[in-house]
Parts: sequence; structure tokens; C-alpha cells
Amino acid sequence: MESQSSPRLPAVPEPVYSTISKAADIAASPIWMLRWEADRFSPVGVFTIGGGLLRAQGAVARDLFAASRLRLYTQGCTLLTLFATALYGAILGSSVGPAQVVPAAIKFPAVILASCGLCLPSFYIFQALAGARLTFQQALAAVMMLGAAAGLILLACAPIVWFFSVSTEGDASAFVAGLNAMVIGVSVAFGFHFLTRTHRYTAWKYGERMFDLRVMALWFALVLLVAAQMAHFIGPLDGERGWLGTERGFFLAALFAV
Amino acid sequence: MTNTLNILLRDPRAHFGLALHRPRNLSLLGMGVAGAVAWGAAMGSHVGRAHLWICALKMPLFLLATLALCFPLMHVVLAVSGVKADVRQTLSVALGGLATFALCLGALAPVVGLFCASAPIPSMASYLNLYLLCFACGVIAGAAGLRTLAHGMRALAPGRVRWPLLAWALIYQFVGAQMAWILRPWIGSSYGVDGYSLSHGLTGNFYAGVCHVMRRWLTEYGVL
Repeated sequence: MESQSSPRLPAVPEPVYSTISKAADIAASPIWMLRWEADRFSPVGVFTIGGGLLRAQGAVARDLFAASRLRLYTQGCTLLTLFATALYGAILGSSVGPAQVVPAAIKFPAVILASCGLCLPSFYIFQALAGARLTFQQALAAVMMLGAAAGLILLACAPIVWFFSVSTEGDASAFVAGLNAMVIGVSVAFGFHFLTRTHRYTAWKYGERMFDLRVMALWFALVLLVAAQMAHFIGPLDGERGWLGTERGFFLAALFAV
Repeated sequence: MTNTLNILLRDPRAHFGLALHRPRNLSLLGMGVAGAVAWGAAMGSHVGRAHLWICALKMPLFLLATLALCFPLMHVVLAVSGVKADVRQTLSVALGGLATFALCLGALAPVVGLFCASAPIPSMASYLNLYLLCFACGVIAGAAGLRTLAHGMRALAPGRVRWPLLAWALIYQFVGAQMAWILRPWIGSSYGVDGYSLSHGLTGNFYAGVCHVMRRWLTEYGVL
């Protein structure tokens, strides 16, 4: 009777981020997981996604797991990847010569986005075969997040690389090439690291695996292979090919030839 | 179709639990054909031009024609193994395995397509490299397809799948090799860029061909 007389309060939905699985032992959790747990982020537009990837990775991981605002994330990450790789491509091109700035600014994003696109079906199908809980939209968003996370590092390093490109003489071009290789390697490693941590965090929080790590490790290798072959095929830094010129051949053969 | 695909890949046991009562054979057929077309187009992109669409057509034809020829024997094998299944259930299990195989090939098709399209031509070395790449993809897809087949058979008869599964794999491989010999839905000789023709004739025998090659090989090494 008492319950009938008392005013009925609206049910307050429990926030997703407070539902840590009972199995999770907070005291024994790594510090980064607790930090990710405290992250809060609510994207308001496609241009705010980069901030979320940098400052609130935990919130982004939770949204990815819950398939929340995936279209916004996908669009934002694609734009970010496009912009970052175009800018970095222009800097790469400037180290070859002024005429190569615009072609490289177009071809370098094409290499990255095409590699992501070519490897997306295998990522989705083989993750599903391994029993991972992942829809195609989640797979697409995850792949674009990988690209955007790598793009953020490229953006951050772009001024330094540009400075070395314009100030280094031609006889030290090997140094600039090495610097570029290191920056691209670090950015790709950061992207992979983000996805791996997303998997570990969601597994810890929800007790359910979002990705299969063995499949993801093999897929990472596949992405690198495809990106290398695509770069060799399109040739963003080859000034003699023209806009649509391609070159057949296996990238390793070209590498050994160098 | 997307729902069927998700369940088939992620939880084949649940898929067959549903599909054996309400078969979704058309969806499975559609997925299998889509995957096979993508794979065929990827392989055909090495030689390019007409070979691209010819391979895209031949690959689903190869898979489905092999299944059509093998299906009666596969159904009989299930029956004599003590697995009680009607024709639609057998077809559902067979198409489930085939669709998984073709989907895996289709998922790898963009990557294979890139390597096929960017490999030097004409070059025997690149042809052999692509051959190995396609073989590795086939092994991966075949393992995934067999896994789905095993789930399907277990849904029909728990604990009796070992021999029927082995028999199905052998029957399909035996007929598939001859079908592939006739249809040749493969990468294509890079030396035949301007000379590719459908008129190679739908004749020949894979096993006789293998024997011929073996005999020549043994003769060259002085064994025969």
C-alpha cells in the first residue's frame, strides 16, 4: 500500500561505464585501465573525434563496444585520416621536390585508405569466424580508428619532419628517409596499440571479447604487407609516374634492389 | 542475408540449430556466389581484361557445379553413416560449408586482387608466387569451411561426424580437381595476355594429367 501512495520516480538508467564485470579485480587492474574507466567523452561533431581519440580513449572504446554513434566515429576518423595523411604526404613529397608535393598529398592518403579498405573484409570475416562479437559497422569503425590514431601521430610529427626536410641537404637524404620510416612506424604502432588496448579494456570491463587477438595480430601483418605493396604500386614519391601511373612488381624485390 | 551471415560465421552451431528446421539455402547460396565472384575477379585481375570477368563467372560455376555433381553421393554417405537427414537438411549443411569457404575467399579477394594486379607480367616467378598465395588462401578458407561443415553435421547427429566429414571432403576434392581441370578458373598464364581463349575445350583429365607429369618427371631423373 505504501508503494502505491509514494510518487513513482522515473527509472534512472545505469551508465554503461559503471557496469564493470564482477570478475574484474579493480585493485589488480593496470593503471591505464582505471584511467580509461574514468574517461568521459561525448562527440558533438566529426571534427571532435580526434580529441576523443587522444584524451578519452576509454570512452571511445566503450562507444565502439556498445556500437554507439558509430557513423559519427567512422566519418570523423575517415576525415582525420584523410587530412593527416594528405598533410604528411605533402611533406613527404616536398623532400623529393616541389613538383611532387601535390601528387604525394593525394597518393599517400590513397595508399592508406585503400589498404584499410582492402583489408576490412578479411578483418570482419575472420574476426567473426573466431567468434568475436563484432558487427560490420564496428569493424569499419575500428579500422578507421586505427587509421585516425596513426594519423594523429603523423600530424604531431609533421612539423618536425617538414623542418628536417627543408633544412637537410641532398647528400643526407638517407637521414630524412630514415626519419620518415621511423615516424610512420611509430604512428602505425600507436594505431595497433590503441586497438589492442581497446580489446583488453572491453574484455576486462564487460567480460566479453570484442576482437580475437590472434586474428588481429595476423591481420596487422596483412595490413602492413598490403600497405607496402600498395605504396609500391601507386608510388607516392615517384615523380616519373605521373598522376595515374602504376608500377607492377613485388615491393620486397624493389626493397632488396635498393 | 546479413543476419544469416553473422550467425553462420560467429556461431555455426546456432545457425544449424535454426537452419535445419527452417533452411535458409537461398541466403547461403547468395553469399557463396558473392564470395566466389569476388575471388574469381581477384584472380582474373592478374591477366586482366576479358580474363577478369571470365574468372568471376567461372569460380561460382566451379563451386556450384562440383556441389551439384557430388550432392547425391554426399547425401548417401550421410544416410549410410547413420545420420538421419532429409535432402533439404543435407543441402543446408553442404551450402553452409561452401558459403563459409567462398566467404573466406571473398574476404581475402581484395588483398589477392591487389597482389595479382600489381605483379609483373609476363613473369613466371610472379605467376608462381601468386599461385602459392592463392593456395595459402585456399587452405585457410578450406579449414574454415570444414569447421562449419563439422558443426552442421554435429547438429544433425552428435558424435558421428568424423567419417562422413572425411568422406565429404574427399568426394568434393576428387570431383573438384577434375572440375577445375576442365573449367580452369585460375590466375591464367601471364604469357597468354593477348591469347586467352575459352576454346581450350571442356575435355581432359586431371588425374591422367598428374600421372603424365609424374612420368615425365621420373623419366627426366632417370628413374623410369
